[in-house]
Amino acid sequence: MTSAVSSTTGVPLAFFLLVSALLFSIGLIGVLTRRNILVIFMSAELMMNAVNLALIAFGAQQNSMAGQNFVVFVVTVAAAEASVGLAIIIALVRQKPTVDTTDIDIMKE
Amino acid sequence: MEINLFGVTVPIPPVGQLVFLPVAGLAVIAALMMITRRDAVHSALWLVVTFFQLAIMYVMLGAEFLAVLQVLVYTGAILVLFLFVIMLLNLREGPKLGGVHVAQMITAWPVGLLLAVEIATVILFSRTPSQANIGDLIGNERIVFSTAHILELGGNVQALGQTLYTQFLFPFEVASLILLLAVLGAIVLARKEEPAEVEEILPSLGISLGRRSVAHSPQEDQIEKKLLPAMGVKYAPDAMVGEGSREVPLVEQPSGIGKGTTSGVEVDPGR
Repeated sequence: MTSAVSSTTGVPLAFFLLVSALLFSIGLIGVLTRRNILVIFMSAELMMNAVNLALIAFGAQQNSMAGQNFVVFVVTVAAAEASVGLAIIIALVRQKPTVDTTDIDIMKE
Repeated sequence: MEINLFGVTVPIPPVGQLVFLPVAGLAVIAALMMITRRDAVHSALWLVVTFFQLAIMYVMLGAEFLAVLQVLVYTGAILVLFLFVIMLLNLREGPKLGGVHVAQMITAWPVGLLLAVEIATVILFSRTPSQANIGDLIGNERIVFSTAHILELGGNVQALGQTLYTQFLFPFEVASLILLLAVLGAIVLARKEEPAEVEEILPSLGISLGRRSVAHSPQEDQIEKKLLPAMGVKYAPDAMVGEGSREVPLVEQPSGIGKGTTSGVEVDPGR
């Protein structure tokens, strides 16, 4: 794996995968640590982008367009998820003006 | 490649690596800034930086179309949507970092870093063929898109389009449905429910909220004043919506319309 080199730029494939792994982990830490629901959403977007980078890197390694096609679908689903998720946040904030996930306990009452 | 710098030969890394290292470093730093800012707007702006660096990496991997898509969809649409929501709802000052969840913080960081180390170990020590053709592995030559083949087709966009509309046609259609549903879902969820609107819908479902005064049309007034007495039905303006309207079979206007409903469905006659 370490000897695999991207044909166009001479950067080893493993570099891209390492960046992807780091970004995914940072996104995970963001989801776990933050209490602002908007930042949690942004961290989830970051995780999806990290996966996109890995998909494109593997596609480039294996001379396949499947990775790039998958990324198109991931972007589509991310856009749909963001619009629905933000609509849910708007509805939530109308009920109770907070974005703190520990305060959102309407279902518990 | 090497360069002679004051008598010392220094190796120059390939141009790709010279571009890659700052780009990757900035992407990771911006991501770290994103998850540590308290202000949600600052978080969103740092995320924009990360997404731009990712777009540069896509270009380096030969995915030019997706780089454009990244800038247009992610930074242009999704993050602008985030900023709209943050600013319209006035949510800039979020909850404090840490706070009651200090235990969560000190658990999450080691867990995340452990995950990073694990993935990095797998990447660095796995043994896969250095340059495999997925088409060779599964015995299908049509899906091999080497650089030469892509150039022959005309470029990355052509190659992507060709696969998207042949191999991935069904998922492509499903993706359009997902987008349609997302549009509908966003409208339904974010719409403000007006009490008056609910009141209008309820009678059509057979639920009455008591008498409402609905302005009658001139034709209805005529029917009430002239036609009904001629047919022997007692004329009582307020009782019209009740049983009276059911006993007018000769009148062409169907019962119910304009007499208390908006949808043409009959009002519950028992009220």
